[in-house]
Amino acid sequence: MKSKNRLLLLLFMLAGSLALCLSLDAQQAMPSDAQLLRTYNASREISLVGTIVKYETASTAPPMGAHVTIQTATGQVDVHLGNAKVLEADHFTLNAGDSVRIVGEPMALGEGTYFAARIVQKGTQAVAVRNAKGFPLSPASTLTPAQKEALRGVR
Amino acid sequence: MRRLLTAAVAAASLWATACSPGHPAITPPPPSGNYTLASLSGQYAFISNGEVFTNGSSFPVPLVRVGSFTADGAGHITGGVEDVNTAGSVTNAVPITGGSYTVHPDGRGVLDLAFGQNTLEFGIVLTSTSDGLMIDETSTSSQASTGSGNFTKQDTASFAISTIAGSYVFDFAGLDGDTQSPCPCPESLIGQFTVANGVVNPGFFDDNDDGTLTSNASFTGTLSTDPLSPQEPITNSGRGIALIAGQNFVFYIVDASRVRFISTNLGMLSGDAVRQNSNFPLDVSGITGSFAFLVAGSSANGGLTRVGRFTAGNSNLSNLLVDVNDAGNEVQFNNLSNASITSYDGNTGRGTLSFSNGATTTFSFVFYLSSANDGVIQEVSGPSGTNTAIVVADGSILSQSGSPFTSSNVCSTWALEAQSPSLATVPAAPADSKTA
Repeated sequence: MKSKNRLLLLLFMLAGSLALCLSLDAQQAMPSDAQLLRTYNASREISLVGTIVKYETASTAPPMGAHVTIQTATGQVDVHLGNAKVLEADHFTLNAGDSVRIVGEPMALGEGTYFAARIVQKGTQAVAVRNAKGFPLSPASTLTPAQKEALRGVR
Repeated sequence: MRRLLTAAVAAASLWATACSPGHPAITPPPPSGNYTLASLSGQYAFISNGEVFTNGSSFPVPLVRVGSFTADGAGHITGGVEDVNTAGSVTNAVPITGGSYTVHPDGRGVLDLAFGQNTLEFGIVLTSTSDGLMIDETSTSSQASTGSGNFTKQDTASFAISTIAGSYVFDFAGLDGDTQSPCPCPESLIGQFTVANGVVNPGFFDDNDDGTLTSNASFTGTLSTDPLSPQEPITNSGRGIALIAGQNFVFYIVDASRVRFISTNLGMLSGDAVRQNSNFPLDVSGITGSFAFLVAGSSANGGLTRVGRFTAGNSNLSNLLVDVNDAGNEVQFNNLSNASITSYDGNTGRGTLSFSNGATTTFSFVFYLSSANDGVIQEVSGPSGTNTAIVVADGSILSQSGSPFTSSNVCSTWALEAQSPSLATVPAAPADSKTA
């Protein structure tokens, strides 16, 4: 029993270290060159791990669209998710308190910066919200072949 | 103190009188103008671009429709046809079985197009008796759609393949045909082709597909009648099929100088081809004067629109002003430098231009002129030497006339169209003055 507890403790420490490491990576990967931050580059992608503090489906604050504020080990991060309808089409819900992992990279817009998400993962479900070039996706990207075929009746 | 009380009571009385439910609402004056039902008469080619919710769907998908309707000048739609592309799924040659329309004296009205039991409803505003703007307001049990576009009177005498002759400049925008998830992705295709008797040779194009650039590539193609839709011969509505830059399209002839296209494979592109005027510049010295331009599309932040102006002369660009709305972030650039037309080909009307914002950001564009006064333009800004762009956006470039601009000389009646930049695949019709 004692050895089981030790193993559990070890696992928790390992997970904690990993989360901290990823968060530190996120900060260290932020280039100081503002110009670089205006271009989405898949080679700069990092992961954020944290807990949702706030989720807005249609924020009017630039960049417009869905935003989620997540609490990471090093602070709160504003994450832009693009079009909320993409998440909705995948039956992907986000609520305060959810633990999420987000793949993306920091971007500059105007005088500020934000984190541009490409993939959002909650539990075992992951949804792409940007393509590899960084362009936000539309719900059309989630259509199955059968759904596409059904669109032929549209007038 | 008594004066203060009196004043307070008087103010309260005035407020109560003005704001009480019984106070008559302010009624705007009735629309004025000279438009009537007879102002919409004949065959019109239309294009509308937006999104659609289908029955049972919880999310919208992009949709573009191009077609032709016939108005009888008395409030009735007597026929027509349309082709629809919904996120790459195409429905061809759908007959318009009837419909109706209204026109107010100021040119506003409602246009209903019937497809058997289904009806599409559009809000319209006439900009003249030859053209107008439209928004999709359809909400039925089978679909709800939004969108905006325009319609232009067709010259029925030009409904033949042979009338489309000479060189044309085109701008097709929308979504690509990438079937690999996650796509479709934004695409802009602009270029120029020469056509005679349905044979396109040569043609040249610049493609920005999801940020990957293909520059000044050549192609051959065709324009022909549609053997798969014999019920809709080209003589009916100006409808035919085309192969342009390796992609299949359906087209509708407006007249010998303008043709509307909608792609039918490899994605969802649409736009117009406009015949090049014989006065289009043969060398860069012919590009002179003041120009306004607008590009719209997508950036990594979301929807993107740039609108600006410059003065051109001897390859130099001066007096540059650019306003940008990038996903809601609005910026004005009025201190741009290193501005010039960097290349120009008098054979095709293709050119490139660029300017810088300080030492760090260079904005680059490709354009094709259809005359000395107008053309199409595509943004290709990105890391140099990589054939990639950080945005996908295109639009139009037009010479400015009537300057100096004052409050009085721009005072007129205007029709205005606005649409989501990331869906901006309709030929630009930013604001048209109205004539009744």
